[in-house]
Formats: sequence, C-alpha cells, structure tokens
Amino acid sequence: MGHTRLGTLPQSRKWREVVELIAVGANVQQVASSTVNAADSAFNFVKDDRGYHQAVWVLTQLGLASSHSDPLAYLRSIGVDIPANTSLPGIAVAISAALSNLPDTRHPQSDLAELAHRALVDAVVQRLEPKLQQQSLFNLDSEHARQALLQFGSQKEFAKLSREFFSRLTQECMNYFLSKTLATQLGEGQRFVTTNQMAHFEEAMEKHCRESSKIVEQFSEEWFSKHRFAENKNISRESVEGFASYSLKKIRDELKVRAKRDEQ
Amino acid sequence: MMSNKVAVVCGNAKVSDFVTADCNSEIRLHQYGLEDDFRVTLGIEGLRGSMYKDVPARLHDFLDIATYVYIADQCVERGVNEVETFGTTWHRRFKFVVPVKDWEFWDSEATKTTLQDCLSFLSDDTYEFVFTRVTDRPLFQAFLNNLNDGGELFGSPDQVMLYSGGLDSLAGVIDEAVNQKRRVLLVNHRSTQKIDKKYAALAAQLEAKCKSNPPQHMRVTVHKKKWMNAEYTQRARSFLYAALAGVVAKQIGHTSIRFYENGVISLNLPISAEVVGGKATRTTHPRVLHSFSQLLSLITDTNFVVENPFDWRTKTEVVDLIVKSGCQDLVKHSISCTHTWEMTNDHSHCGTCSQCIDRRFAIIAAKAEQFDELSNYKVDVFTQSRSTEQKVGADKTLYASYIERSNQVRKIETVAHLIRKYPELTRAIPFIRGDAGAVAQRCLDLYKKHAADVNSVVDEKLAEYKVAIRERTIAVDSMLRIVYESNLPTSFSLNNNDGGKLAPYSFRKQGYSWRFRFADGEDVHLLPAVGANYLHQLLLSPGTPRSIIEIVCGVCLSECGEYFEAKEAMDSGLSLGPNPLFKAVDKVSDWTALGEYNRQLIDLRDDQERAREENDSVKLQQCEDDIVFIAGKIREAMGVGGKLKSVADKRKNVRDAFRNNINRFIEKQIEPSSPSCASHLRASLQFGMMSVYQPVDPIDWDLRPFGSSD
Repeated sequence: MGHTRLGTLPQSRKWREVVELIAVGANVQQVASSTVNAADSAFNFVKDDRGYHQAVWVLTQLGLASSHSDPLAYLRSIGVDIPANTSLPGIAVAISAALSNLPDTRHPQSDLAELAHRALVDAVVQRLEPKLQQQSLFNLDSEHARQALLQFGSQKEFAKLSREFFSRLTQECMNYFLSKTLATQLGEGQRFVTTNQMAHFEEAMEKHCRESSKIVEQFSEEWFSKHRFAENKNISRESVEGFASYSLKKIRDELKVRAKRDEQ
Repeated sequence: MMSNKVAVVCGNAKVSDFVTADCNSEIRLHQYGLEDDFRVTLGIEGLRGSMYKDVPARLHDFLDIATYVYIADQCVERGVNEVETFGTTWHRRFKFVVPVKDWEFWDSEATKTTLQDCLSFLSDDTYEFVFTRVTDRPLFQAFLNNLNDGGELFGSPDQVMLYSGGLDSLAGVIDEAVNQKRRVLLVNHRSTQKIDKKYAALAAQLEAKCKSNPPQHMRVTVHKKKWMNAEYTQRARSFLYAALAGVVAKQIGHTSIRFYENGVISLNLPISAEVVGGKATRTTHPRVLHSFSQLLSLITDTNFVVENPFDWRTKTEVVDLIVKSGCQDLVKHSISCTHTWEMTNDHSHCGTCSQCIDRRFAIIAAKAEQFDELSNYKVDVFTQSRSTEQKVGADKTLYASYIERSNQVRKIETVAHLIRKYPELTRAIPFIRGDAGAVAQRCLDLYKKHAADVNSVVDEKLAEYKVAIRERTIAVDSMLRIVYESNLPTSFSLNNNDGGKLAPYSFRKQGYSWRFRFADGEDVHLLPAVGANYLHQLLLSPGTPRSIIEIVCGVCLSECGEYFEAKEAMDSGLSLGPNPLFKAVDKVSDWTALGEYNRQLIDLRDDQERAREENDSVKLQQCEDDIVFIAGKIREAMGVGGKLKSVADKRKNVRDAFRNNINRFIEKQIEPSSPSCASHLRASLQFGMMSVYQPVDPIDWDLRPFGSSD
C-alpha cells in the first residue's frame, strides 16, 4: 500500500541544460545557478503561495511573541498551540499544526508550501535544541518552553532563525528539482560511479545553499527591527508577504550570480 | 494560482447552475438506473449470514459516497507539468453533489468537516460536499447481486480486517487466525483477474493452516467504464475499503476494523526531496486511521476504532512472524508488487517498484530467501540494470534513494535530528498514542531497525557478489555496483575546484563539453555548442586571420565525422545534407563584401592610372577588364537607392552563421560565468570571411583537449 510516486524533469531546453551540466561534471555553483534559471517559471507560478506565506508568517510570530506579556498565550491565539507541559518534539508538532491552519482555503497548496513546512520545523528545532538542557528535551514545563521561545525576540536570534529557514528552504527547492535527475547519472562511466559520490554532491549543494542564504540574515535582522517598531509590535500579514517574496527573490538572485560574483 | 475545480454530480442529484457555478468542469456518475457510460457498480462477493438484515440508510449513504469518491479519484487526472507549477497541478479540487437518505446527518457541519479533512489528507486533494435528498434508490441488498451464501454455517467473525494479499496483511491474518485462533473476515479488493489464481491459492493455503476457523473472504469489485481509468495513483482507494469494512463490522456488531501494515510504510517518510505530501501514499498513516475512526464513530454512533497492529514493526519482523508461525510456504503466494500490469505467469513481481524493493530486502533480512524464489521477479533488485526499463530515471532514483535513506538514518543519533531530517513526522506524532517525545523516540527506533536491516542486506549481497563486482560482470548501474566504492577513475570530480584546477586562461575540450577558466575566475563547464568549436579554432591562432569556410568545414569534420572539403562545400552551395552547420544558411546581404570590392576597385583605379602614365597598354587592358568585372559584382550586390540586394553567394550566409554562433556562445555560456572574458572576446574578435582573434594584450591560452594523461 505504501508506494511512492516519482516525477521527471520536463524536456525543455533549460532543464536539458541542467541535466547536461550534471552529466559533464559541472560544479555545484554552476548546477545551482542553472537550476534556478530553469525553475524561474515555477517560482513565478507560486509567488503568492498561501502555504509558503503561512510558514513565513509563523516564523515572524515566533519573533514577535516575546513582545507580549504571555508569549505562549499569544502563540496559541495565532494557532501555535504549545501545551503547558511539552517537549521539543511537542513544540515541533505545534508549529507543524499551525502551518496547516491556513487562512484562505480557496487556493490549493503547492509543493513549495510543503517544502516551507519542512524548512520551518527544521529551523525551529535546530535553533531550540542547543538552548534547552538535554534533560529537559523530553519534559519541558511551560516556563522552559517560554524561556526558549523568548530568545527569538532578539533581532539577532530572529535573523539566525530566518536564515536557517531560508537555508533549508533553498536546499529543499534545489533537491526537489535535482533529485528527479541525479540518480539517473549513477553507474560506472557516468557522473557518479557510486551513491556515495552522489551523496557528496548533495552535501556540497547543501553547503552552497547555506552560504547563499547568508544574504537573508542581515536583511531579516533589519526588516524585523524596522517593522516591529513601525507596526507597534505587530507585523501585518501584508508586510510578512512582502518579506517572504523579497527574501526568496534575494536568494534566487544570489544563487544565479554567485559564481559570477566570486570571480570579480 | 488557480487549479481546476471539478463538480462530481452523483446519482440522480438535481443540480442547479448555482451549485456548480465555481467549478470549471463536471462529471456525472451513478450506481443505479441506466447502463450508460456513467454507470459504476459496486460488487460484493462471499458475504454471508449476518449481513442479511437491513442496512441502515446512513451506512448505505456512506457506501454510495465512498464508491463515488473512489471512482472520481480515478476519473480526474492529476497534472503532469508538476515542475513548472511547483506541483500545484498534482492537487485536484472536487465538489461532490451526492443524494443521500439521511440528509440531516450528512449535511451537518461536524460530518462534513470530518469527511473533508479525512479525504483531503488521504489523497492530497481538496474536497467539498453538497448533499441532496435521495428520491429513488433501491435497497442495499438489491444490488448485492453477487451474494454467495450457500447456507454454510459460519460463526460470527471476531475481527474484520482489510486484506490485500501482500506480506503485511498476510502476516496479519496468520497472527489472528493461526496464532490467536480467531475468526477473521477479510475484506479484499479484486483489482485484476490476473491475481485471481494467486489469491485462490493463498486462500486455500490459509484454510488448510486454520482448519477450525478458516478466514471468511469478502471480495469487492468495482466495475467502471474505460474512460474512468484516467489516473492511476488512486490515493483515495483505502477510503472505500475502510467504508466497506466499517459497514460490515457494524452490521455484525463490531466496533473496530484493522489494517495491517508495517510501521515504516505506514509512516512513509519521504525517500527523496521531491516526494512531498501525498506523493508517498498515506493509506495507513496514523492521521488517516484516526480520521477513519472519527468518521466511523460519527456514522455508527459508537466509539469505533480503526487500528494497525503492526505500526511498530518493520517488514523484516512481519516476514519473521510468518516464518515463526510455520506459514513460510505461503510467502510465495503473496503479491506485493504495485505494477500489476507487468505481472505474467512467469513473474509475479516486477522487481523495480518500491514495494518489490522493500519486500526483497525484508525477505533477505529475515533469512527467508528460500521461500521467495528469485525467479518470481522480472528484474533482480540487486544485480540487474534498469537501463532497459522504460522509466529508467524513476526506477533508478527509487532504489538509489531507498538505500541512501537507510544510510542517512544510520547516522541519526537523536530525536531532534530525526525531526529535522524528516519534519513530516510531526504530522503523524499527534495521532499516535503517547507523549510526543516518547512517540518520536519510538519512530527513531523503528527507522533505525529498518535501516540496520537494509544495510545488513547490502553488506550480505556485496559479499555474495564480490567476485562478480570485482570482475565487473554485473550491470554497471545495478544496485550492488553503485554502492560499491571501487575508486574507479571513470567519474568526473564532484567539484572541479578540488585538485585538478585549470590553469588561468583555459578553454579545453572534455568529451563533447568544455572546461573553461579566465584569469583568476572559477573553473566552469560549458555545454557543447558549435560556437565553442569555432571560437576554439580562432583562439588557436591569435593574430592570424583564418578562413571561416575552412574553419566551418574543419569543425564539421570533427563534429560529423565526415570529410567535407571547403571547395566542395562552396560548389554545392553550402547546403549539403550531412552538414548540420549549414542548416541556418539563408539569403542575406553583405556590406563587408561590398567594402572589399570597393577597396579592390580603388586599387585597380590606381593601377589603371599608373598604367596610363607608363603607357603600359597590356596592364591598362587588364585593369579595365578587372574594373568591369568588379563593378559588375558591385552592381549585382547593390540595388536601387544604394540598398543591398539579396545575393546568391552563400559564403556571406556562412559568415553570418559563423559570427552568430560565436556571439550566441559568448552571450549564453561565457558571459553568465565570466563577464570579463565575454568583454575581452568581444573586443578581440573580428569577423569577416577571414576572421581573427586579435587581443590588445596577448593571452597565453591553454587550449589542449583533455586526454588520458589528465
């Protein structure tokens, strides 16, 4: 009953170039740049994706929660229902549930929404894990959870959380496209002789995406500071959607020009 | 971003335009009445005893709804251009209009919400229901026309369970009927006649194993027209089976049904980044089973439970259970393959689908290989290539991802790491009993066990086939070859910055492609292009004008493998069939040629003047003849008002094609990675019938092709 459906890349010229670049041994910068180029129409298609916007909305609310007298109650009011006694997995579950509570059901979700879901859960767990004592990972009282979440209120921490989110999202998008074709390059005489070599390529791509997303960190810090002040500790959905679109554009541009800029 | 919304008008529902105004298309389905193109029939075979009593209207409604959902799921195709739309077209939007008897119940907000949520998560689509009142529906038993009750005495079943005939559900029956001596009623879908023989053999074997309490079979068939088989994914099919099993259970006084599926498949964490949402089936996902329970509780007014007793077992443990119960001889009769269309008398399994791969690994890990003959598989999972298969890409990705995931899970140490790697887990945790942390830990333990099984099988097979791997007698892209680290020097480096960095100013051919570096920039790969070959020829002789006809014909030789002499090319009008380089040739005008003629004319007139001064009549006549000839050429080329005529000399067309190819190559491939090189080349190239690369500051290019020494 548990079969899985895999897709293939379209046969357009741009996508054929991506496949050819992988086949001829191009490095991750080139493949990434070419992939983003080929995926332009896909990104344009989902530029107003409600699932993606919801993920960025929850991200910003995690930063804003500390401005409220009872952060957990505030998060509950916007759909992030963290129980009084919980655990790190419990917080992840609450974030995940909040991402499914979409305000507008008229439009279907896209795969970008699913990738954003993965990215936000990952980012929150990654940032929270070192902040919690190992012994309390599985048994957090509300004070522990409150203390951990409060830290996202600082501009620097919000910027780091934001970068983790966009870093994983970029990586997920890249893998989303490339995993349709990487394994076809497996075998003796091909780009990857073994799965190990393919895994190394994926690791290199992950590192590249992570480096490319650095550009969002400073932008997030400034944006968060400015809007929290200007909108009196409440950032509107409209502002968040602008932030979401612009951040994604920044990373796409960065991936496109990165090799060129390295040279200059 | 809008997707099509389909109105599914069922039965005899009278629908006004207002109801379907927000839909883009409409399909009609009915179960009763005319035998037309929209007719579907739900058939149930082998139902006995207790069902011979009236089926309440609400349950009858439920079967109707489930049947229509099952059919609509197959009628409406998912989008194919998933990449361009970021998978948006995968999701469909349905608006069902269904006539029901118990209208008050179905139209309530609680029922609708539960129904919609359940189906939306199960199939990854969006559902909306409009219920109308049914007017002319026959009684339930009237269409159970395949009832086969021979009056045989059969005690009431202890348990109703879904049965697919695969290893997991077989193990479920064995555990219930053989080990626990319980009477079970098996609800089974008869999807194709191909597996009837196998199913009959398995049923007979099961009967022999539990003589006192043989399992009772309820086989379900859904007859539909050909046009309804548009979409093969069938994500919503378990909804129909749960509905059937739930109705039967209720009729015989039970409040539970069971799915049997191992925990790894039940959670179905994605094996690859492209597998998002419902692209991995959610048939027995904890949230789906919870939704089934909720819905059946509402419908039956009881605390109904839909459960999966194998949710913490791996498939290896499932096979182990079969063997330890003494039923290993049943394994060969079970069918796990999802590619039923590939099934033949010789091969019951394809060996390439995810289920076949999973089954094979589990069988070997459980040391039960002798009970599942390799000859049953069309393709050996471990040693054969997928290159002969039509869907080579998907198949290769599937098995490579399967083993790579186990490799990655092996490295996961903590629950936090597991959630970060597979955030989809957070969708299942709330629907599994227990504290979130403890549940996550159990999931990690389960996946670790599965990964250990997979990795041990890989190790075992590598040892078994070590000679064949060393001697390279098994397929180059077989599973065993692609996991074996042989350090063969046949692959390209992952990142050409490592180790073999090019010298500054390199433009070197590697196979059909090129590796390039300008000054201190990065090494980049350039894709094969005619312009690259032309440019390479010009760079080979900086400062020396080269005939482009010679270059084009030379490149043609290297590209096409055919000797193509320049003169021959000119004589034949540069349009010979085998030469793809001249395909773009068309009539164009040529100012450069005219300039050349004018320069020659000026020279001839100077010569003419000198001949006159020197009274050299022979030279004078020669100059006059040449002037007449050149002037004639200019007249041929230039029309009224000083405009160029379209000329017959195709050399100019070749020259334009030559220049355009180089410029296109610079613009498309060189400029994105090295704008400074693009500027340099544009400033240094001069085009004409004699073209030249003439840099202001000479550059020492490395233009050697890559060879074995590299």
